[in-house]
Order: sequence, then structure tokens, then C-alpha cells
Amino acid sequence: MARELMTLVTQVYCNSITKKQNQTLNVRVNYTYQGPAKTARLGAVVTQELVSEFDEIGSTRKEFSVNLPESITPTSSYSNITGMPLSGCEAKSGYGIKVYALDLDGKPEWGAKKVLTVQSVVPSPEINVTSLSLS
Amino acid sequence: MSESDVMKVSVGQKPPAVFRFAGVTIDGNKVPLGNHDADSGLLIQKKVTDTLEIIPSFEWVGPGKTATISIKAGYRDWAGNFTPKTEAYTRNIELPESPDTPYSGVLEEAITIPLTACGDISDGAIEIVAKLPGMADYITQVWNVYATKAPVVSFRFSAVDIDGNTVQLTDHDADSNLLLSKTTAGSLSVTPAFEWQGSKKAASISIKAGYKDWLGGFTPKSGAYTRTIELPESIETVYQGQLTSPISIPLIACGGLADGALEVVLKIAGISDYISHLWNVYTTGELAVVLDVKSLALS
Repeated sequence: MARELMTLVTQVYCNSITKKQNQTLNVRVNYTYQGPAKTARLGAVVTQELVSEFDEIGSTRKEFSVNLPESITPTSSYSNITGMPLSGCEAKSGYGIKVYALDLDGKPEWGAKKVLTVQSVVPSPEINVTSLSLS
Repeated sequence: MSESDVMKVSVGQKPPAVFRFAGVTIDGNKVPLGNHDADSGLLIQKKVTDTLEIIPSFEWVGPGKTATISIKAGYRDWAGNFTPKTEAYTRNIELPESPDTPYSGVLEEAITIPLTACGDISDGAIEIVAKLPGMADYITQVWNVYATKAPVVSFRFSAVDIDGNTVQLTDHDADSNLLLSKTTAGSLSVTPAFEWQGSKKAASISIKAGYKDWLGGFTPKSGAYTRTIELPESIETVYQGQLTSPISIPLIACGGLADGALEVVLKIAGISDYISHLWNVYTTGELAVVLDVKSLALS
């Protein structure tokens, strides 16, 4: 029996992290799989809450293939999605993360809100008065 | 002149010549002959390249004569008569004068009958004929002397009970059309019934669960689940037997099948395996495809 098509993001547990714009984000996806041996694609993208809760920031998207071995019963496994660029994210807090699977029935999506803070790599304007000279 | 009613011997005359076969030794087995015919019950297993060594013994009352003894090998036909398969193998003998007391004689050397023409016979017989001048032939037939046909050994699965549903097997394979709804946590209880003809044998029955592949053959998904049985001696009749308890086949490795099948195999040492397939026995549904993310870890 195929799983019902999921139209909403299922919220799952995720830790919070702070990253700079010139760093990349890595996501370890912990999942269970039941089904025949398949090659599917897993993707991840940074999200922000604008119109909806999980509006995607396309420049951060990363996808890769994963070989899912046949499993009669739900079997735990994980995959790492690495190197998500954060340069397209303005420095702020409150970013979310969403992962999704392609090439499987439906398009399941999972995510967490407000787990990522991105910091700017440009120094804030700063003036230091080192001395004063009166005349 | 009076005449004895019993001996039919005229008073004052010599008794008439009398010949009879008293016995015959076949390949060293002595068969007494109280009458013209005898069932030896020997059924000596022979090949067509073999021979029979036959030594008749006889009794004789009468004047000296030269006689011939001829022997043919054949079989007992459907009418109960002797049908020869070989030519006659003949030996001359001298019958001495023995007017009063029966003379007991025996061939000094066996008559050898090649069985080249006697293949595929299960009830071989021989016919021994004494030809004496001026007398009617004395004919003796000895039944069930040899067999050139291998004893019948046959086995077949006649039916298989699956979870209380009996599937008859008129051939090796059968479409059970049961399609029992199962899960991978379930199992099948399988009890084969069989027919056997042959000598006492140890055997084993193995069952695997699988499916019918795209070539129409059986592809196993489970291992073999085996039971050892003893087939009793049943030479003349077909023995009908059944396992006393079912063999349970777990379906844990048989998920996602819409056309589950069974393979039932009988193994007997020295005999080719007897293999039956039962198609469309069970279903375990199409394998569910579920990817479920449990958590994410950012780094």
C-alpha cells in the first residue's frame, strides 16, 4: 500500500545552529524506510517564514541520490546532505530547514522552523576614537 | 483278460512307459514339480545380458529310450498360458530301461538359456518339454522364474493441504487459485499427501515459499522447510500417505507478493527429485513504500 501523498510539511525535531554567510550548512536526515530497493533523491533547502511557514531560499538547495535497500519492515537509516551554501541568506535569525524525497510515491516533506541563524561576514561599521587633539 | 482300472495295465503285460519331470534347479534354486505346472515364486532379477542355468530332474519307467529335453524362456500371457520369447535349447538324454521301479535322473550339465530376447518382463516363465519316441510330449511350465523389468518405483504428490484448503494434484503442478491473504508476519501450514509404490525407503519432503517469476518458473523467497519421512514397502499396490502434521512455512521474506507460490520437493536417494509447484497460493500485498524522516541534525 503506497503512502498517502503528503501536501504539508511534517515538522520534526531539529537542533538550532548559528552559521556565517560564508559557511555551509550540513543536514543529517534520520529516517526509516520500508519498501523495495530503490534509488531516490533527498533534498534540503533553507526556508524562511514569509507567506507560508516554509518559503524556500532556492540558492541554498542541495540534492543527492540515496540507495534505499529492500526492507520488509521500517528500517532506520540516515543520510547526510552537505554543503548547503548560506551566502544567499541575509544575516538574521529565524530560518527554517526543509527536507524532501523525490522519486518515491508522493512528495513527502519534513522540516523545522526557526532553527538557523545566519550571521554576516561583513564587519559592522565601527569607529573607534583613539585620541583627541584640541586646538 | 482283466485290466486294472488304476494302472490300466493288462494282466501279464509290462506297465506302460511313464515319464515325468520331478523337479528343476534354476540358478541353484530347487523347484519341486509335483505336477506339470508349478509357481516357483523365484522372480530372479535378471538383465537381458544374463542367462538362466536350468537342470531338470526326471523319473522314468519303461524301456531304454533316447529322449530330448527342450527348454524355452518366456512369460505368462494374459490368458494364463506360456508365451515363449526364446527358441528351444535342447539336450539329448538316454533313458535307461527301467521296467519296474522309476528311474530318477538329472541332467549332468545345465541347459543355459540366454535372456537376450526377454527384456521388460515382470513374470518370466520357462517351459520344459520332454520328447520321447512313440509318446506324447511331456510339458512342464514353471511360472514366476525371473524378471527383467525393474521393480516399479513411483512417487507423486497427490494433493497438498494448505491452511485447511486441499489442492488436488493430477500433475506435477497445479494452480491452487487460493490467493490466501497473508502478511509477512504470517505463515502457511502445508501438509502434502502422496502416493508411493516401491520398496521401503527413507525420504524427505522440502517446501519453499516464493512466487511465479516472469519466465513462469518458481523463484524461492524462503528457505526450505524439510521433514523426513519413511516410505513403506508397497510393491504390489500403491501406498497412499500424508504427513502426520503440517510443515509451517514462515512468510517473513515473502513480502510484496501478489502471486505467492509453493515448491514441494521429494528427495529419495537414488531417485530423481519429484518436484511440484502450487501457483497462486497466497498474497502478501505489494510492498509498502514508506520513507519517514524522524529528525534532522544541523551542523
